[in-house]
Amino acid sequence: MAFFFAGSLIHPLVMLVMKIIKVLLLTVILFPLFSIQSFSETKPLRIGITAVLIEQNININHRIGKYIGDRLNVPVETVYRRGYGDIIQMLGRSEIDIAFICGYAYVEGKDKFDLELVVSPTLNGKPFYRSYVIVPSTSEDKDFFDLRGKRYAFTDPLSNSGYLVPLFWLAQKGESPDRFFKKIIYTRTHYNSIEAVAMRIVSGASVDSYIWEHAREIAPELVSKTIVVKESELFPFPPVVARKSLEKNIKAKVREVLMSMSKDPVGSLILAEIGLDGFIAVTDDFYNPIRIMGQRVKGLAMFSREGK
Amino acid sequence: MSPLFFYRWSLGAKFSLTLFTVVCIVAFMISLFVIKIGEGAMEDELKERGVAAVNILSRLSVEPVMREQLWDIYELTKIMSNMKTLERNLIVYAMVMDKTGVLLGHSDPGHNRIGSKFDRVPVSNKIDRFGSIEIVEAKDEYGKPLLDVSSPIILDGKRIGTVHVGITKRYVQEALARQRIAVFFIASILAFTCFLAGQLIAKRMTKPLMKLSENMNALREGLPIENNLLVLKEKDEIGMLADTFNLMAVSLKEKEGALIKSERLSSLGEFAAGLAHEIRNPLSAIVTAMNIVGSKNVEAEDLSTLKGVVRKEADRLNKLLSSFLVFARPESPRLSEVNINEILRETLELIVRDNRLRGNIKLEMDLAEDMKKMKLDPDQIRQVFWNILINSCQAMDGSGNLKVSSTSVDGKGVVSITDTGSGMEKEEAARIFEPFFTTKEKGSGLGLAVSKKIVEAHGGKIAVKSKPGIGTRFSLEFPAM
Repeated sequence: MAFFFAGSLIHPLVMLVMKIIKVLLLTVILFPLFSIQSFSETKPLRIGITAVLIEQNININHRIGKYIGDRLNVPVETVYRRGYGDIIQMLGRSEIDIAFICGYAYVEGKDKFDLELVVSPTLNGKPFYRSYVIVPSTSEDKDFFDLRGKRYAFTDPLSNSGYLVPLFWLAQKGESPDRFFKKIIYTRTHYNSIEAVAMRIVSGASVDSYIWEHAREIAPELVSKTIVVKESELFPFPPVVARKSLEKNIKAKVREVLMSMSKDPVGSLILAEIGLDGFIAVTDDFYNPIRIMGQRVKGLAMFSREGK
Repeated sequence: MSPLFFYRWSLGAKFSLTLFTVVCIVAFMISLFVIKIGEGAMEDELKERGVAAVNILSRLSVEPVMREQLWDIYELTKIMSNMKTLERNLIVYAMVMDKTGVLLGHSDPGHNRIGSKFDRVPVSNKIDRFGSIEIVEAKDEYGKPLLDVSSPIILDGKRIGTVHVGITKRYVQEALARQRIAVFFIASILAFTCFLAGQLIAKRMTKPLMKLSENMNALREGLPIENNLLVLKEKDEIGMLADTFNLMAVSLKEKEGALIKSERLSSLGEFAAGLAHEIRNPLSAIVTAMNIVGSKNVEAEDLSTLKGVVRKEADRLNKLLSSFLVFARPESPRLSEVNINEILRETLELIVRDNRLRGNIKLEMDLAEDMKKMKLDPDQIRQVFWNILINSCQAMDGSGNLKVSSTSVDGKGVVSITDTGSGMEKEEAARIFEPFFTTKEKGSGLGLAVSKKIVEAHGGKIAVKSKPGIGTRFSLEFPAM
């Protein structure tokens, strides 16, 4: 330090040279630190998942996430939440980048957080599925409306097949689930709903047709204890969505990777395991049927509340 | 089994059996004790598990029960009943009820209708209470015993429901069964080891005792034991007994030696006296006859009578002395292979011919046909038979039955000569083989003594049995070749 204090007595040119040397030295010393930071700045892709689809799906979604990460050559961070509500809020807060969610959750998320569609899966070549009403196979109830005054299971309040569809049916008849059913429970996943029916914890449940059919293959004993008594019309498949603020090129890359997944050997293997064909690009209006249904349910509910 | 049976057992058997019994009883009691403790500990462990489980379940159930979230309740009960400890599922069921007893969740709801009143598991009289937790002995649907542990679900000090957890006793019972087998196995090994140890100790103890007993027998029979004395290193009770016995044996031997010496001396005196007495009678007769011959007026007829007397008495002296010589310095037997029956016949022939001796005595002969030849001195044996037969005939005094029989036993020749003579008292019979012992006026008292000596020189035995007024039997036994 004494050396620098003594500097005032030294010629300004010498001081300048010394200053240059000092800066150079600092640069040499600090460069590796900067470079490390710049490495770690390759942010991981954060993928939000729920177990709404199927318990085992956590694992499969993990694998899809890892597949995307491997193909994009970025680290992937999978974030698990129990419900769609948490996931869309996290997307809105930019806490995650992309997510596997339900159509109804997308519609709601689009409204609130301007979420963007990435792709939609396809099954048998089409991006559609249905909502099933299932009852215990030994049940005497032959229709959804026979379940009045009984216990019923929904999956998630932001699920299309597991909540919105049956709600819509009830709303059309001027009923609200609270009045129609003796008791409503939320099981969070379609698989749980199947189990709840099989175990006769509830007298009926609304489930995703794709999950029910898939579960029939992986858990035939459990699924055989349930039967489908009502099928809805076709609805667009639960999409993969991204937060609005996610860089366009990343979004595009993810879309590209997922859409070409069926052409890739590793990708097609994963798809075969989940029983899907692949992914296609979809536009927002593709989800209009759900959007309209949601609006009508809200309106009818308001109407029936007013009518009370 | 009479107690006498036990008395007859060897010391070793008694000792090890007693030890075995005691160890068995003690081991059995210890086993019971250990098992009882184990049972208690395992039961307590189960109860602790059950209490821990209901504590967790009742706390986690508060919110779902309050909000009637049946799915969450079901998941809780399922998680509870799937909790495995060391690959074992101790919890067979878990269930949650609301405060009115309506079933809200059950780990296996298929058998139990959710939303209906639940009939409690069969309750026994025994209820353990730990605070608000109750533990009841019950049975599952297969009849296996279990503990039903229940606890209230408390919210703000109010009971909003109840949780039940069924803890199976199956694994504990299996563990206890294994423990029981192990404990009894160890106990039986212990008992068996003690039995063997008892045998070993008893053997060590009884072996010197057996040896002492043998030595005592040898001592009683007069066999030499000097080289066979038991000397034990251990100076315990048995060692002391052995030492004492040895001292006693030595002192007995010494005393016996002294006794034999004095007896020999006294018998020598008796013998000498007997001999002197036997010599004196003929000698005094000779002396008297010589005195008469020496007087002046002896007639020729008397002279020849006196000569006859002198000759006869000298002859008697001569005979006496030859017998004495045979007795005192017996000739060693000149052995040759002979049939004892032959010798008996020859000797009896002599008796038959001698009318004076025979008189009206009836003879009976019963000789063994399978008699084997034996190595004997025929002359000496003939002498023996002659002496005995004369004795018998004289005892019958001309009338009675004389029975002579011979048998062959294991190659040995057994001869018995029985008369119906006057017989003898026991004391007389005991002395009959002593030299110069006689009950007759004429006998020298050496005949039977010589006979005994000869028989014993052949390695045989001679014995007599007699009853006054009934008769006498001589038994002789000659060894096999």
